[in-house]
Amino acid sequence: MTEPVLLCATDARGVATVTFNRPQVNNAYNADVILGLIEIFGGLATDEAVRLVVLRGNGRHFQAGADLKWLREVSTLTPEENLEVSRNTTNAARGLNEFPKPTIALVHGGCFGGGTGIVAGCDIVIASEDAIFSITEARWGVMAGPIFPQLNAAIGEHNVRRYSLTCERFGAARAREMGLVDEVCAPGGLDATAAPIIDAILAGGPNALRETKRLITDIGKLAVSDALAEKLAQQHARKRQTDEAEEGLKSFVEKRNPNWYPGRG
Amino acid sequence: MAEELVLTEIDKRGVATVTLNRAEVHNALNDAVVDALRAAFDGLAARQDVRAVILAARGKSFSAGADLKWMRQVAEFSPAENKADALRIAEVFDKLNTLPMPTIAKIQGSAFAGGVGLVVCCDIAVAAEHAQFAITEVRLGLLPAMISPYVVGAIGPSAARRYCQTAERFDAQEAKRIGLLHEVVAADALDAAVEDIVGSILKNAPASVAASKALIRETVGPVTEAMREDTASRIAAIRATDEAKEGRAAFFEKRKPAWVAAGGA
Repeated sequence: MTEPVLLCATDARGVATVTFNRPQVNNAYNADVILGLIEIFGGLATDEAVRLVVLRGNGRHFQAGADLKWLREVSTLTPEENLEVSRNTTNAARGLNEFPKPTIALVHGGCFGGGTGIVAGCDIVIASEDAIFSITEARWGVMAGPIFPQLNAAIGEHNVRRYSLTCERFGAARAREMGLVDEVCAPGGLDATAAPIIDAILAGGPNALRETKRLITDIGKLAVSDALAEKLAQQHARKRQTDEAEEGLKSFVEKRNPNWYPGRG
Repeated sequence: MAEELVLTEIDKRGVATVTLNRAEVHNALNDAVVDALRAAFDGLAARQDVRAVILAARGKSFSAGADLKWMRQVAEFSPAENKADALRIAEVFDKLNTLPMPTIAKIQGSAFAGGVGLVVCCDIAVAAEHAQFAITEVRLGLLPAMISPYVVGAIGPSAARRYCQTAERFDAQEAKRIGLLHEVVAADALDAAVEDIVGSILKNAPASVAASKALIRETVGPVTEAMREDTASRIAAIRATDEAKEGRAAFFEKRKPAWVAAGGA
């Protein structure tokens, strides 16, 4: 029997932990992970016993973004099937961002591409000093559209303009400076750093928390409308079926530079 | 004659100082204080000769937020009275936020809940280094409602998602990092730090300062009457819930609310 790609467990206090569980591919996401996230968060939202959700990764990394081998297969699907994948991706990001209870991401190691959108969609982000972030999509000739609303809200358009255009890597300290990360701790210190924050949330009224989060979402205009979601999904899907994306994803598999890279000046 | 709840002084340069004067209850806000603030802000808004407004407080704390005795009275109100009361508070925040001249919060001690609301409605915030901050409403089963547009405006959705839901206390340095404060200074340097900023403002053309302030507000999106209505409705609704009743009862009975006991935290 194969391991589930996501683990979910809730403790006696009502703290649910969702764990990315594809360590052999650095927790890269594929269709199973996306649909699993939608299903699990849908269930946690209505489970009265759950007070808050912690999101983390098994293995050496939090989440390496999309599984590029899988993405390459997706790009060869029919346009309609390809669009459906982008719709699911967009909805998974939306569902997390608009999840009605507090969410905490515990980040260690790599957090790339869609992984940055996942943390941007959480309420509180704790990263260990070894965490490395990058909005990598453009590097592979694809785009990060579905996570831009969350990234803009978390780090501001100005930072998104830099990091989504350069795909540069940045560390936990820089991530905290920009507001993507709330707390930075030594490697191995994620649980200890999260403990008082979790305790603080459990001291808040569950209904008050739900109303408060909804209000922040409304005031900050953090929710993505159906119309915007559809637009993001369509752009995302279309870009994946261009020659440029084909070359970018192929360059990944072949471990070479894409043909648009002129080399260092 | 009883001490005035709010003191207003205007010096010969046109620098007004509005001082919260209920040190014995940590400058907690009740209906009388709200009325006094409204009168003070209305008076200042109409004066052409006032070039800057300092919002200050006497005693150990800047403001502990809503006076919970008042909250208990409010709990007995009908839904309509409850909403009217909330709207009056929303209007006072709006008056402070839209004063035509620059406003400086001079924070000599801690600010919680609605006290943070007063800070975020000012243009510039300077605090003594020992001041602590927290957005505590959810501890009592309430939500930070009327202050939320200004809170999100000042600290952004990312920090708001954390601190509105955890109600954690944070220090002045963290407050500065997230944008709640502009300057943090030693307690004995607070007067001089505020005076430096006032000095800079007095060098600038009054009408262009006012036009700049109005433009910034329009650019980021003004807090509208619809938003005040919405937030007032939300607080009125939550005040009447069982959870809020339990939160208030626990506070006055000096015990943990049921949701903490249930969580075992």
